[in-house]
Amino acid sequence: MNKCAQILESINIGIVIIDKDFCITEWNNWMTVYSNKTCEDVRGKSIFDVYPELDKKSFSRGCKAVFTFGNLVFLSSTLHKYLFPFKIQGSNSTFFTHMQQSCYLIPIRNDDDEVDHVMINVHDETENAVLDKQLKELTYIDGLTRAYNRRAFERRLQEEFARHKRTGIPLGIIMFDLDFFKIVNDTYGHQFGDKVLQNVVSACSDCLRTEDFLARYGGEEFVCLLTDQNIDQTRLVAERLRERIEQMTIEEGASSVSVTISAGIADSANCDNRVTLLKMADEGLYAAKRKGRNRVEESDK
Amino acid sequence: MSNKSSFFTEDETDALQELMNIAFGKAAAELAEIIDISVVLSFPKLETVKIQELPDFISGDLSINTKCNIVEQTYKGEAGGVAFLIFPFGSESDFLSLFHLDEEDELELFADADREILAEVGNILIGACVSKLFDLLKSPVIYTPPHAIIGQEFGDKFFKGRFSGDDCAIILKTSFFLSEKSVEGFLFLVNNQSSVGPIKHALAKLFESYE
Repeated sequence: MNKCAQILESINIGIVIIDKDFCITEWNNWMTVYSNKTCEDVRGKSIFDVYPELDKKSFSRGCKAVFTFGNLVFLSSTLHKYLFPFKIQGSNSTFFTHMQQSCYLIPIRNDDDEVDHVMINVHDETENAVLDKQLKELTYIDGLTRAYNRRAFERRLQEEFARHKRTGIPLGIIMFDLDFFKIVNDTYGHQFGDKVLQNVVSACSDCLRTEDFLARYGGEEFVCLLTDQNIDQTRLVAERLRERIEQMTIEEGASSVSVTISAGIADSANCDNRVTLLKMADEGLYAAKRKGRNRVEESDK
Repeated sequence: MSNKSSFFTEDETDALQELMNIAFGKAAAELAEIIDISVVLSFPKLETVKIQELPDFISGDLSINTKCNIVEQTYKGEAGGVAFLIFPFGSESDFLSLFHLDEEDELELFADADREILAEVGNILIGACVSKLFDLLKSPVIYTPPHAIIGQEFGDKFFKGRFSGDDCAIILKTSFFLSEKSVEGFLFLVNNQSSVGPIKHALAKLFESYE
């Protein structure tokens, strides 16, 4: 085996070489290990026959760019997750189903200086992606309730309000807190209070769409962002949350407790900025408290 | 401010300008096919300045605000250099909406993907413009991976220690109109003194081929 072949077979990245017809000409040992397909199995075959999953826009766009312009194309794991669908075994499989990959598409020129092959370099980024996921969880998830935390909410509000400004799509907000929660804590203890908070988040999550964003704003106060929802639609959602929580009972030994929420609602109409939107919802919450609790109100100012 | 005579003669500058026009015309057509959205590249305006004059040139003539997004990519070869593609700060969200990902590639919340999408888009735009130019000059180049920075000041600090005072910046001011959305970008090619010679040589050979 010559030196180049030894390097190709021993290097700790995947290397695949395809021609202009997308037929595989090289497939190194790293690829064999993760795909269970040898070079003999795949040589001469179209890469799309071997992996139909590669027939997607980013890959074909990248290959076209390499053949046309002769430049290097990078496909990041953040944007594309993976190119080759290699299943993950072991502990990382709890985070991802497939190996996370960053890939380079690199031009290979012939003696006439024409690009006639593309080399695909595949880097395993799973470890980094797991660490990134864990870091994001620590940064943005409330440890007790598993709802998003206030930092995540502030960021999401900024992004969603900017999107509303760009597109004109309405943005609804619900701010709510648990009525007389201090009495629950004082009567049944803080551990039971924690359980109540967890149950409230679980009940709310069941009533919300996947694109809605629920966060613990602080203590027993929560906030929910509803994309593409005006004030009437936001009121319906808030009422649904209020009713769901009112009907819920939380049991701990012989104790059984029901809680209610007061909610303030607002939408992006007539709000110049995100601070005003939040302030309007907050004023609605205090209006709901003033008017007797266990209700949904808009700002009355 | 500019000091064209120290790098290229008037004829060379005119020829380079003409090559840029042809290269960018070809690049726009091929880009449109590759990225599947309509692309219009304005005719580039070519100027050359010394590298130390570039920050003043950018802030003065090109009216870029203090913060901008930068995609940087090194290309190697006889006429090698560094390409900088500059977009206004905030344009990253336009790219995210323009360059649709594959349908199965739903982004996670807080994916911090702005930098990646800027690098991928910048990589293709730089590749298209730079490769067409050097193809015409018959001086092939190879590229290193792109590097994107969001919200960077493109001033003295950015260049500090990276280039020699004698290095040359070839400035190509062009506007990208992507899918009827105007995203104005500026492309700068920074070449050191040693690569100006091969560019002049390539231009001379090109002149000869037309004689």
